[in-house]
Amino acid sequence: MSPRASKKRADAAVSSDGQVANAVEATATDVSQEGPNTAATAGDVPVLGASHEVAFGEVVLDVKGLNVDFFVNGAWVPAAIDVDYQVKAGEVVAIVGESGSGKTQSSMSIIGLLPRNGRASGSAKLRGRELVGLPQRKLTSVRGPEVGVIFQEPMTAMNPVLTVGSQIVEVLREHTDLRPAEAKERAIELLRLVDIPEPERRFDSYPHQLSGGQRQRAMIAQALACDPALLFADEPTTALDVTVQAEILNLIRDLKSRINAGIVLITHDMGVVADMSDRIIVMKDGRIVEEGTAADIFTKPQQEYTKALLAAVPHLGSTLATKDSNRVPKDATVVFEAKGLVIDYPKQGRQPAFRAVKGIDLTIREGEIVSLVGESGSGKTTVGRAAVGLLPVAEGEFTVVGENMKGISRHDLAELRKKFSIVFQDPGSSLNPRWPIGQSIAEPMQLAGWDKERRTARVGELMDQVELLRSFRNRYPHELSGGQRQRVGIARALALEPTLLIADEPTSALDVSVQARVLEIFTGLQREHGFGCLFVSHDLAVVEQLSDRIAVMKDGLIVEQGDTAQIIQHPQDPYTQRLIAAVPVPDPAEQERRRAAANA
Amino acid sequence: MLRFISRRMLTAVGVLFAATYLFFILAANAGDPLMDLRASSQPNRDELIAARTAELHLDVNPFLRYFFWLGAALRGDLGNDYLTGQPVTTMVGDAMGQTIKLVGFASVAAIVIGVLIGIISALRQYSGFDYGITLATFLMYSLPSFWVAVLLKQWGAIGFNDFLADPVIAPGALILIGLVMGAVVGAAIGGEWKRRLLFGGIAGVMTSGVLWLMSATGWFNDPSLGPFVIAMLGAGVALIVVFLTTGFGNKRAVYTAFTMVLIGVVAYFPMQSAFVYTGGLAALGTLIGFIVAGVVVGYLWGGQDKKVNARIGGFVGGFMYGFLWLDFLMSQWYDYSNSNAINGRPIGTVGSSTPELSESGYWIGTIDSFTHMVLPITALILISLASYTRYMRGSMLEVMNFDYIRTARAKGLPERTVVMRHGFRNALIPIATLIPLDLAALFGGAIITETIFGWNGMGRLFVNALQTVNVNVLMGYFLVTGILLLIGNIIADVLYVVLDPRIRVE
Amino acid sequence: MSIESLAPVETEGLSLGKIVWGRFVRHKAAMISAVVLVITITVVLSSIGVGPIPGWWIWGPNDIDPTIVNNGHPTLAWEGWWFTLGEHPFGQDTIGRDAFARTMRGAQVSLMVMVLMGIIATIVGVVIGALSGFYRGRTDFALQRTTEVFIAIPTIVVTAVIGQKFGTSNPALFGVVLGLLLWPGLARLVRADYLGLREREFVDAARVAGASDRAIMFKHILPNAIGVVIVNATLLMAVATILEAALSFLGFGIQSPNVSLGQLINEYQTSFSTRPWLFWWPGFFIIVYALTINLIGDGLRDAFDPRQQRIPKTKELNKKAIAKAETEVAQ
Repeated sequence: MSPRASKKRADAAVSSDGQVANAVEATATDVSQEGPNTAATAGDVPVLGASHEVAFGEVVLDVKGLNVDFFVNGAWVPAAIDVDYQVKAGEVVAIVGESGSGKTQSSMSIIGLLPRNGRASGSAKLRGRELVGLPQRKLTSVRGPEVGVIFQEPMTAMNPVLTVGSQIVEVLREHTDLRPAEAKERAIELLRLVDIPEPERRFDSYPHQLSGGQRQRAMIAQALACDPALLFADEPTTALDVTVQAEILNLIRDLKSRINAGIVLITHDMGVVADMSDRIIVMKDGRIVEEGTAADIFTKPQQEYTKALLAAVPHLGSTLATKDSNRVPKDATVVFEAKGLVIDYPKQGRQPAFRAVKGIDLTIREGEIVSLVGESGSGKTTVGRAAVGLLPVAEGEFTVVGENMKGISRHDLAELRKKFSIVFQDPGSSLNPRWPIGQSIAEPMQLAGWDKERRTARVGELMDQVELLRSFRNRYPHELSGGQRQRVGIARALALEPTLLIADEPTSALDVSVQARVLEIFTGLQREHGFGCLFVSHDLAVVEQLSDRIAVMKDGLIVEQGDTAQIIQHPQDPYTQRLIAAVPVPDPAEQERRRAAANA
Repeated sequence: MLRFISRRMLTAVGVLFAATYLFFILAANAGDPLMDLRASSQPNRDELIAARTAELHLDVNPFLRYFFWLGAALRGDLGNDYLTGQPVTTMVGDAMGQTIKLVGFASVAAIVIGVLIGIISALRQYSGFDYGITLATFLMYSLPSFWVAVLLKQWGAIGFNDFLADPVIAPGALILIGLVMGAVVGAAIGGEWKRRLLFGGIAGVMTSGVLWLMSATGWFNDPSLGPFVIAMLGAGVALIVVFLTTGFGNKRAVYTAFTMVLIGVVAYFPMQSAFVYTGGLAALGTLIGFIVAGVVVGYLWGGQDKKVNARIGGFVGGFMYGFLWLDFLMSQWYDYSNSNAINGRPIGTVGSSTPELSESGYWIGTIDSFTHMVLPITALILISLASYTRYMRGSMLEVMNFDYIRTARAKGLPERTVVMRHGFRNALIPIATLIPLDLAALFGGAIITETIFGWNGMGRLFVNALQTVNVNVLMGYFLVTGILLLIGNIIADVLYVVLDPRIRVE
Repeated sequence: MSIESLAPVETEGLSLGKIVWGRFVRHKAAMISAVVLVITITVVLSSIGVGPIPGWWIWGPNDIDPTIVNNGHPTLAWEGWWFTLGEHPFGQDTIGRDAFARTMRGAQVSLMVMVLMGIIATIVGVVIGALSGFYRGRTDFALQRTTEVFIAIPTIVVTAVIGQKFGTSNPALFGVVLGLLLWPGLARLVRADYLGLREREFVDAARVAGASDRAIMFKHILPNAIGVVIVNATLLMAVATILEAALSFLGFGIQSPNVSLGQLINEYQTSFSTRPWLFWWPGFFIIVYALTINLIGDGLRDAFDPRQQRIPKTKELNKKAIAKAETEVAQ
């Protein structure tokens, strides 16, 4: 530990009440004058010096009665109420909740990172030092050396005009005495620690030049730079692909044993929680609903909400028993048929055109749900869009609801549009913000020439079917919740009784419980109306729940397809196997088994 | 990158052709170049008409006449002014020189001040300061430039010249100005009550005090700074620079800055004699010398960040020279003001210089230039300032809401670094791409300001030519401004790519 | 907060228009400006009348009063709490014409020019920007280059030519011409907005539903871009006011016998030392127009921007908290 950093640490400890042990420890290291570079190898020991003054199991964060409010439209609205918890060094505490539960804001308030219209009260002690109410000037010496933060979106969380390396060096130079050359060395070591290949080169790269996974690793390196005692990870893997997510989670778990810090993992994904955490705190509407060890929460949940939350999480492999591969008769009409389908994604400004789909074969019959699974860049979304005519067919055969889509004329396409439709991913942007939802739902009918009376009646019908109150027809999208908006999207898609429905990641942007509801409604409607469905998704657990058949895509090609049960239980292709292995399962015991099997 | 630029230039040339063609047609139809001759009663009127018609190809249809002009232009010959016979190239060249002087200074000042105020305004959003500035900028936006110019002529020139006859400031005015200054500083500082009151109070008292001193000692008639004041000013600059870059924690930076202040003050005495023999080139050379000295001092003080220290040293050094130079300039004021040509009314309102003084040497000449530039530049600044302030404010506000600002704070960086390195740097990108376009447009001449203040810049050239339908001059003007505009466009695009690594083509 | 629990009545949702209006009204500077502008326009239009409709003011802009009242000085004066108008509140010029009437006429003409220009520039700018941003590719390229050509041509030349060809008789024509010249700025902004909006999923959804390009551009995207259009159109009008004045001042815009604010300043600039009031008042009205419109535009901009959030100072907050607590106790 460099003299300067240790002095700061000593100051921090001494100025708190009690905690004599810390003060003694601090003065001891002050006197000992350790050299700065004792821990050179990235493998086993953390970065800045050998000893982190934190003892394993020591309480690093003690939160009592934390309240967070926001000033919205003229009144203080509570975001977190009476939050109590503790975090020990070396343990991972997961705070789980849906959006609006207060999990992020309560954590941000501890380090003083609330937006302007927020305020916090109560107590949060970091190794004995009270943080709530501390002025920003003092907080800057806490953030960095004592607390590190990993944010959700690494692309926007890093300054795009500065190199990755310089952003890490910045933290080091600010809080320690390292000279520029030394800091650079340290930064490269950190990059190596988080398994970024070619760290020397990556040091000079800009954030946009790295892949999503690498960016997140760089963020982790940045957060760990000064050896903090506490780490906040705010949805660190939500923005990443499943396989990348698995890698990052491995990394964090690895670091957990090495750096001896307390980690607060904020997430909504129960699978991630099962994989990583020692203790779990469940929050809803700003309050802590339940708290306990991972094993306890998953096997013996006490509260209703916790039980409901767990029930809503799709669990890979849980519905296989109910699958009936003969649900749909083999001779049902084919509504979607692709043979050697090739689709080019058009030139977008600077980006040249590229071949997104390189030749796939896929068939969907009326009444069955076929899922197209893949990660970002696999081409699955492109297929969905081509099916509704948003993208042209480059090569191959492509027949949708009986019409050849290749080179189809605008006029014919217009006629076809009455037979298929699409539900988009982001309910926030797939509805025109300036149109009342009734109008949005009615649009396909209006374009098809229906008269007003008929339209109005049908809109009412559709809203009933998706379980929305009819009185909402004059409301605007921003007045509805995410789940409600998505139901509007479904209603619109069903307006003209399509025979083929494309669902493009319809629930990815929704909370877990909302997702469960929407999927329930969706499957119900599918059974009732009997349309064929292409369900595009990256979430295997969701896909398993509702599909009859699954096709796995990677880099523009289908690597494997077959009945759901077969794919999930006996995947043949190595990519499929990796994909399945990477899906986190909301059951700690099973996760451990799977990990052991994977590492074997 | 090269391909990008060359592609842009090609399209630019295409646009230029189309535009010049259009312009030519318009210009040719804007009036009758033979108007004055038709009305004349000279005996050889008809011959003159014929001669001019031949010279300007007036017998040819304008749609074809363009190509006469084009042919000559491509050979470098832009024709002559039919009234004076002067070649258009020289006319445009001279006019451009005048305009650059005017527009250059005004723009630099407007940009620097505008950016500064914009940043402070954004950081203090919704405060009294912000509202005040917003109101002020809107007012400035809404002022017609000619209205302002005429007012400036009245009060800035006539009023100030009258003031100089008896340079005493009334005590009431003193107190008022002090109060205003204090209020502004207090509002800008931000933070808690006490801090504001303290800084505002100091600023107010200092302002009033200084003004009173100036008034009592007849400073306005014979101004100077003197070594003490230079030292104070230098210290002020040093403090601000260090505050904005490294913070006072970095002792070496502080030492560097103040060493340069010391050097500047000590150099005061020898510089007095050196200045007497200084001309424009020597002044520039000495400035560079001071900056280099500053850089060297920065390196010598060394420490962890040699480069940062060197930058600070160079900066302060440059300023110190500036103060010394200013002081000597001021010492010449008395001679200037009381010279026969000026006769106690130094602020000029017409033209860019006083003809009788053109041979009076570097210092008098510079003062003369300044006094003639003050008013038109003020007029120009007032309007540009408003838009730069708004742009900077808007850009800064947008940037400060981005995620990476939150990350920077989460890393424990002091607010100063967050604002300067993360906020400001990114907020500057759109502004930086705006500046070349703005400048290019302004080089077309600030028509109104030049007309009112009698400067013979591009704007004046253009208006006169338009009134006499002097097609050659008009085309010369348009060609130059058109090219400037297109170059400005290209520079803006290049700047964008340079400043924002995301846009770079890999 | 559960929306589902609200009463199941056919309720009217809060459209964007209503939200924006609500926020605009809370923006003090903009509201005051709007009020001032409305009052000014009312006075300007009603005082000397428009066209065949007569006004309430005695003098017309070209009437010559043979008696020079008060040496031509303005007769506007304070009296107790209010002011008296007198014979010639803005004074008289050298010939004896009433400056108030002339200023009012000038203000009317400037207003008309501004409105005409605003309407035309908005329509042209929106159409070109929409086409450019929506279709991109070659259409965009061609339109962008056209825009550049327009930007390159100085307005002053075109107005000079128009002045020569069609005489200076028609201020309306001037307004139209200005509109046809000043649309590029607006077009650029609309284009940028369209470039972004066309990528939004609701556009795709509309396309899948079978909407035509025109329907998408003007029924779907335009309502979303309207904020940008309105704000910039108002700001453009403010700029146009000053531009018109400048052009007339230089002799290239409205010229006598027509009257506009800029033309008046031009006419009277030489008499600044002897009769400064003739110079002041037209300039004052230009400022009123420009300032109020600018502030309204700014108010609109803030109202359309969803991120604005005014957090009151701690004192205010505490007061509100106490008040709220009291009301709660009372219940």
